[in-house]
Amino acid sequence: MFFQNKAKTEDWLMEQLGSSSDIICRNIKSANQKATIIYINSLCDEVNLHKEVLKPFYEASPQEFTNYIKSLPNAKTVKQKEDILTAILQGGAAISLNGEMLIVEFEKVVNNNVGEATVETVIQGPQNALTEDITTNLNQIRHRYPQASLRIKSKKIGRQSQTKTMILYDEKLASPDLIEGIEKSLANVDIAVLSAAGQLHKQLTTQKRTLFPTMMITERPDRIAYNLAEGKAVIVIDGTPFVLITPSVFYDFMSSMEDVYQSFWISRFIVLLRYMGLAISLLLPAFYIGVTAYNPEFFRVQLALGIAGSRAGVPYPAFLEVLFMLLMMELLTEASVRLPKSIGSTATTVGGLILGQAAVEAGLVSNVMIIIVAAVAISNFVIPINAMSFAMRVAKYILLILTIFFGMVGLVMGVIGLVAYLANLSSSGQPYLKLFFIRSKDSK
Amino acid sequence: MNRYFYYLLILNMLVNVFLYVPNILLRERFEGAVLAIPIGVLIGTTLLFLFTISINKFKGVGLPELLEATPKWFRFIFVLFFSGMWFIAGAISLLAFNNVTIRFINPEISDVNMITVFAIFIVLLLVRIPSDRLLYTLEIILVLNLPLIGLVMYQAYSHDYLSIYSMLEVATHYKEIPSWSAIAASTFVFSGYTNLVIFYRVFKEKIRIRRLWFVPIIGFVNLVTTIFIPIGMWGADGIGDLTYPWIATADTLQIEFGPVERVVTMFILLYVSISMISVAVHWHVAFETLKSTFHIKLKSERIKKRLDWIILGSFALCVYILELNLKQNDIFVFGENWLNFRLPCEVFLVLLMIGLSKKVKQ
Repeated sequence: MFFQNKAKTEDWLMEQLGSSSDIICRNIKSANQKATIIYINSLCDEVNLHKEVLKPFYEASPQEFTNYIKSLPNAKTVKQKEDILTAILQGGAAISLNGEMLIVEFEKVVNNNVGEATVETVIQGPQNALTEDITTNLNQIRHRYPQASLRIKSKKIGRQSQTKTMILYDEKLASPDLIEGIEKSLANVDIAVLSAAGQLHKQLTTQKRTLFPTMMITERPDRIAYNLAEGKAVIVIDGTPFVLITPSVFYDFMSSMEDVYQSFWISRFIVLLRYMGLAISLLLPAFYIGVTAYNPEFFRVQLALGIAGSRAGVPYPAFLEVLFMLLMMELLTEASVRLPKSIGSTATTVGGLILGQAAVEAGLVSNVMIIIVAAVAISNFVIPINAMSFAMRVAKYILLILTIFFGMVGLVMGVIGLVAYLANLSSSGQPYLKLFFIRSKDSK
Repeated sequence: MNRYFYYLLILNMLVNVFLYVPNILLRERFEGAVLAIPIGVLIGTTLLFLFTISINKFKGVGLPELLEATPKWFRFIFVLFFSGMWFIAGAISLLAFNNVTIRFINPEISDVNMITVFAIFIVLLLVRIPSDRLLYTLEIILVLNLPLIGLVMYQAYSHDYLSIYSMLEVATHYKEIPSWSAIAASTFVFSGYTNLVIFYRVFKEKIRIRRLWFVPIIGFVNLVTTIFIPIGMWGADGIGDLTYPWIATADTLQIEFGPVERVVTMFILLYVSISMISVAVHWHVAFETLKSTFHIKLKSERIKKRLDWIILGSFALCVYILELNLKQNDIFVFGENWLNFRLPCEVFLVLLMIGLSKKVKQ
């Protein structure tokens, strides 16, 4: 009866896995015992499997071998057939021994090379980014944050991908409500395949349609350690070098790790520069329309005449010119992100230099417009966190449309609306934007 | 949270320009406006301190919650009446700055369309935002605007053509007994504290009364600036001809080494943004007061949501109807009457608050 059951489990497993070439099912036999091993050789570390299972199998007595296997740190006993299957699919080897099914995990990880940070770079600071393997990432984080109070809670997310996801936090600093809230919202996530941090972020927000990121997405281990020390929680996902940090407020998205590493005035200067960049990229196109089409008296007469002069050859209203140029700029940005790196520079040269000059000469846009578009594009890249810079790219158009219809008053309205919208957002219960946040002392 | 109280005070001090306070005071510049300033400061600060000390007895509650101790009929009438007052406060500044906008910034758009846009914008802003988040918004908008307003004020004060003799000419009429209108107008500058009836709900700590010593000083400076700068620019007689004294004054300014040619555009834009926030604050108080009275009986979330839209929609509709029926001068008369009527109401509110603080124990 017992043996029958065992045989059935193996058959069921093989039936489920089907006949793929990388599935190994082997009956092994020594002088006094026999066993069956099932694993997938593309997921399983075979060298270790040989060393830790096969060799002792031929050297030890049956009793000793069973005890040995059970005492391995990566071994576990699993009762349910479905759980065995999941374990095999995640790189475990199922060993059936005297009618008992044991799982020993020999996960083979290929993509655990630590590479340089490419999305958030700093000049003189830690250069390495996280990897796509969760254990390597944990290793990096633990190295940077060697605190006994660091807690790691694990959860599998994704109906089909069963992606390993971990919540990291410092028990002494993070509020229990925060962790409870995250666990609750993680439990509600219903998604088939989870493969990126942004994807999880989208699932964790309560509102369906959002524009601004309310959780920080980062690839920098030093930023993670910094935020852990501030009592924030970090969600690490297997298979992506990006993690989520929550709660994150508006200012976090405008800060780079460079601010911490530079001397006081330099970092203040950089931060100021960044906010000016934000203001330029948000307001300048709308401001241009407001000034040329509605209130040319705002600036000096010479400037008003200068702009009007450069627009003399342009046959249509200012807003079409702005929309046309901004659209070109967005296309250029989007193209250079998606293109292979080797072609990317060609696209920027063709688009930026040739098209810009030609558009002016053809009388489609004014010279001033080219300057404005360039300024907008450059200053948008000053925003250090990509998600925020994307959000601001979109927000710019809302201000633009309000200004097109209602002039400078529309711009003022748009700014108030934007501030109110941001102030109304929350990140894990924290208000997203207010002027002063009280920070912990040692973070400054 | 203490600093948000100052913002509420500063907001009213700034927005008085659009609420016809300078018009009233300048009209009566030879008939007691000068004496109205110290009297206004005295009455205004007394009311402010009495109110703040009374509400300081409680923590984290608004007036609607405190009113539970009063009889039902009183509560109902009081809430309807006072939310009406707050609504009109917002409505007048909306009407006034709408008028200024279509005169000086957007002459192409019709007044009714412009006010519809403003009203819709403010309704959309208010329907979602809770009290504390509105205060955060207020703080950011003020911090963005105040330096620029300071710049304009500096330009005005340091102007070569600011005639000290005109100012002295008006100042010598200090013995005249001020009219009710003048006193009511000058006390308005201090009445930002009344917004606490709702915003006190989100104040986490008590207001430190001692730190409010600067309020009478700032209020005084504010009132003096409000009437004497236009007088200094336009002369003691000339100022009487202007419909919008402050806007005309701002139009005399030019920033010589700055990029801005006409300061008036910048000035109006700054004041439009401040007025818009002020309308939002006033309407928020009216909205929340009404909500807290009607919501008690309602259970279903959907009906509550619908009620919110109905309240705010009727706000917008009222403003629309007012704009259709009031001419520029009517708005001024309406605003003046409201200011006159507001002062006794404010005294009543303060007395009520003192009574409540004696009666209700928390």
